[in-house]
Amino acid sequence: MLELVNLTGGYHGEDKVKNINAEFKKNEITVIIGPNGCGKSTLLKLMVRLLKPLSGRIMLNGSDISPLPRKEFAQTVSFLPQARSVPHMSAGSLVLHGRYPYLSYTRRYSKKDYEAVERALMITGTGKFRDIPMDLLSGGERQKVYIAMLIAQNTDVILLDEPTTYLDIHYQFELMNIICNLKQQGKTIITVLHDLSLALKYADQVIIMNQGKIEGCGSPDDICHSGMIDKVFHIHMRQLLSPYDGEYVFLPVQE
Amino acid sequence: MPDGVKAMNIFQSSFMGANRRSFCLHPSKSKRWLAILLLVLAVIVILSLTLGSVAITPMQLAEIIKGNDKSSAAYRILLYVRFPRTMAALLAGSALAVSGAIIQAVLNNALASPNIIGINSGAGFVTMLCMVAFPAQPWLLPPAAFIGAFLTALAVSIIAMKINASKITIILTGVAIGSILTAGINTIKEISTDVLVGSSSFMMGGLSYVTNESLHFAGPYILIGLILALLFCNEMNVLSLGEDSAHSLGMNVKAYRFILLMIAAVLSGAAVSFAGLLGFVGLIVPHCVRIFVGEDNKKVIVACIVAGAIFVAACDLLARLIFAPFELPVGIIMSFLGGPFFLWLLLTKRRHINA
Repeated sequence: MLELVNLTGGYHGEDKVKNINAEFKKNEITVIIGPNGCGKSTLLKLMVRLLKPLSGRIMLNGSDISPLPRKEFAQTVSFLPQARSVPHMSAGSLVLHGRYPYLSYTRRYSKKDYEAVERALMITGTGKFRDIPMDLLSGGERQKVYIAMLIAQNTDVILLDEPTTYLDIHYQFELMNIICNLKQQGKTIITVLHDLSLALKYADQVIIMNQGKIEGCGSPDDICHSGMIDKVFHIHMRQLLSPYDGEYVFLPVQE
Repeated sequence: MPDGVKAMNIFQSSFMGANRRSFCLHPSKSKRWLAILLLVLAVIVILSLTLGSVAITPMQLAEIIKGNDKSSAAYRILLYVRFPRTMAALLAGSALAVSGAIIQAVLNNALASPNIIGINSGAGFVTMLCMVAFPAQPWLLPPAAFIGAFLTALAVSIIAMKINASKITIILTGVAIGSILTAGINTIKEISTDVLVGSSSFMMGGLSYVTNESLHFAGPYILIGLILALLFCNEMNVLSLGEDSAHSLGMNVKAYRFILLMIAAVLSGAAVSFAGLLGFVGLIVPHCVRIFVGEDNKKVIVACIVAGAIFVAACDLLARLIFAPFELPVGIIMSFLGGPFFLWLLLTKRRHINA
């Protein structure tokens, strides 16, 4: 679906991320992990064309994305940035903005747009917040409304930058379940996650980054057994067996 | 997962169609506000046409509108004094209020307004240069004011972008540029012998010198600016999501910022070209309006057009009446009335004002 070929780039012409090669498949959640400042967010920004690559290409279904017009690109790839100021609008209006890439020359939202919004509110269970200003919602509720906006945008590829950070644990799982549901509908999901247990639990593919490079890439089990997590994060990892599934547990290590 | 799946199933089995109306936040409430505002505007306009150092009775006004009374003194006062003055108040008020709302949206900054970030001073400086250099070319004033306003807006936003400025730094940049331009204005004022240029009316903002001619030149700029502002409401809303989100929704953020700043500059430039440095209206009217109609920029802009006109026309009316037959520049009344009113709003409805 989406492929990065020797991608290099960063802010102000730096090479914050170097020679990234990766492939993201349909019906899969790829989780990018790595220590702070390793270039995870920069990589996402390069992928949504917020930053211009110094070299390399981003291929979507086999063709380069750089010549795509803005709106067409926004109909294919959606992105939830990490740091956002809370906009002063109702949750319903926010979700409606997800339809902005589909606005025609009449510049009016159509019945189809309102239906997509209704559907997104339904899937995320945020219909009840429709008329409530965003600044009155809790962090978790707000995040679900943002996901609803991305669902309304209805793109094949969805990029998320730490969608669960600062959320209470039940919101983290609720959000990840919504994301899993999107995967099952055939979306390609790429997300940066801080929480390693959550990352390994939900990922189909894990990319581990360090100092601007991809350290390793593979299934959660492969990554865990490669010892790369221990090396990159300076921790010690154990797998504990629960009656349901093997959960990974992380312990800090004194060096 | 169960939640999401359940929701999907509910959606697939029972969902029929979406209701458009559901997206208006209290639609009836905002319509009611608009109706009230329009009513107040009508009253203010009638008062503004009839009251002044020579009062015109409503009967005379009706006669004049019917066209029966073309020779009287009242007719000439109405046509050459009251009408341009009232129109000037309405146009300047709408233009500056909308300009303020746009600038607040573009810079995503509640403290911004055309006077605070120096746009009015830029317009005023170039207007004054123009008055001194080409005293016989009144049609030059609105485009000159627009150029001044636009260059200032551009300078502030480029500097802000270059240094990756925080909200406060943008304001400080604007204040610094504004003070340079105000110094320029004061220099021209001191060394020029022209009466109009030297008057405090221009500095404070005043409508006493407005003629039909000056409106004739500036009016079209304002009307076009207001229409454009209404067209780009949705873009302003998308911009308020933040640069990254707006970009990932397919918006050309830089281009729209530039266009919106141009519109704001046209509006405040045109207003400054005939009304002088009217300050406060661009800052407080958008805030007051948001308290009542919410944050949707479409409603904010519509309400700003009406409320800005009301505010300036009402202040101008008082400026004429309080010490009649002497007049105060309208800017003084605006600050005296608007300041306390704004403070009252801050104290009672603070939640709505997000600085």
